[in-house]
Amino acid sequence: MPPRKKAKTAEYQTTIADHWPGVPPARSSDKAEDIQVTQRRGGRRRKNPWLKDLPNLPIDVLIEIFGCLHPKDLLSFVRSCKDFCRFLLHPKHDFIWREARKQVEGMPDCPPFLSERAYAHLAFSWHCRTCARKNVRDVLWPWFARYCSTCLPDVRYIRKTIVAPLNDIDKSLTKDDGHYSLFNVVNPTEGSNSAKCNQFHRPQVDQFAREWAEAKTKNARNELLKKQRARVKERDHHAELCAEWYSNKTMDRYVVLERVRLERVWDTIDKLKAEGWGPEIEWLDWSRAYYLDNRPDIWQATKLTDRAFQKILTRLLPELDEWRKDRLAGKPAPSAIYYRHPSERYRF
Amino acid sequence: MGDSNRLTLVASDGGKFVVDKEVVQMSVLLKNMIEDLGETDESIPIPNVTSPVLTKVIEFCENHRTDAARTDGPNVDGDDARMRTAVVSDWDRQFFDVDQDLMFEIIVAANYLDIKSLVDVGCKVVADMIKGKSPQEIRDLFDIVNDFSPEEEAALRKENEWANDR
Repeated sequence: MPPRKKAKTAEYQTTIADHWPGVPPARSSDKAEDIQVTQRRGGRRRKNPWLKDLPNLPIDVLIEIFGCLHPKDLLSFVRSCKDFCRFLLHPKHDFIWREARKQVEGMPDCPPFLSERAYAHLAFSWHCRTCARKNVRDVLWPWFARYCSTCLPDVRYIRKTIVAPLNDIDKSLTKDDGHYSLFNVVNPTEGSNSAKCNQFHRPQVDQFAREWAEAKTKNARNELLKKQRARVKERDHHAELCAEWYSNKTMDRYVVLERVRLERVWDTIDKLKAEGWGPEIEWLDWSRAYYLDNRPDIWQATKLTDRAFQKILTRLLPELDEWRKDRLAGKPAPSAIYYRHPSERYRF
Repeated sequence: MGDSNRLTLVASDGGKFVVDKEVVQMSVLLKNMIEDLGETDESIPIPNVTSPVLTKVIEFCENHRTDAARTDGPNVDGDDARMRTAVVSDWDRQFFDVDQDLMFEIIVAANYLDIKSLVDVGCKVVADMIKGKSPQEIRDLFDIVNDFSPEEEAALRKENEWANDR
């Protein structure tokens, strides 16, 4: 048996290190012998570990491969291990993220106040900025941040609560609602005290307060006001572009998923008809949307397989038998509360 | 005496390949070497590339020799645009449908010989294989251990790690 190939991770580390002069030195646990441990040795073997050779590729090839990936793939790489994390998060390698971003259709250019990697993280990583909670779908674009519903109240001021802290800084700031042009406001709505409207970002207000305290003279403060208004305008401009792109992306995704769900419904109905349940389905008529299409095992955004259909059929059989008995007895189809048929939800 | 339009390449294991000059010139490294050497009957050693890999590289170059003529000239869009627009044809996919070790050796050899089209196609093929994978799936493919502590993983999900200035 030929000798087993040696893992070349240490070599890769050397190559990477050559290209990142600014990367923090290896931690005490990242000594040469420990770096080798990064890859599995013995023990559990993977079915297809061929990509273990990938880190050994020349750095420029590795960069070209990263450049072909979607930002989401780069985010996965960052979270896979420290080596890739350090490599991809290094400011010198922001261009990789830029290349990846260019592959996303319609995604606006990176705003000048964000790094490419931070922009990708904001757009494609659904985590709360503060507590890292998952599935935070909405981005508060004027703030360029995602917050979960728990953290949001701690990082915002609303119409009623913004006045006091600003008056503490300087009473002139709130004169004639001048503070609305000094900060990026989420859902600016005149006169509303609702928590969803007129939300001010606390970190932005705090940052402004610090800068205001540093500016001692009247001239310096006027200059700061001018600068702050320009910054807000710039952020709002980018926020508008990003919000439009994000909303289109979300809608496109929704349409794709609805289409897949509808196809699954029709596939299920075709298969049920092929099994001889056609008359019952016809008999259900409009109630079908309520009793059949809307079932959680049918209304799913995955293609119907034979196995999945058999599971659905097994669960549905008692109801199908019931409907057959009622139909043969000449009873009307069960009435359903008004339910909008899934196909009506979105017109293709 | 050899044909002036053909050259002999010698692989690292001694394998000899007689190839058209036009094909060889797809490699920027070899093209420059030929220009420096001028007219010569001497064979060109390729010390870092083995015979099986060189066979595949030559196969690719022979198939793409007309593409080289088409794209020859100043590239106004630069490398980035070239990379993004590199198209992976069915033939290219078939070409890379080989043992994974050989696949990586081909990409490394293409990079060494400076054959841009082959590097681009190879990188695209590898990228396609990686696309859509979760961090865990990437760990499985790379056969690497998750060396993040739970706290570090959580910190990565927050924005602080990313928000460093450009």
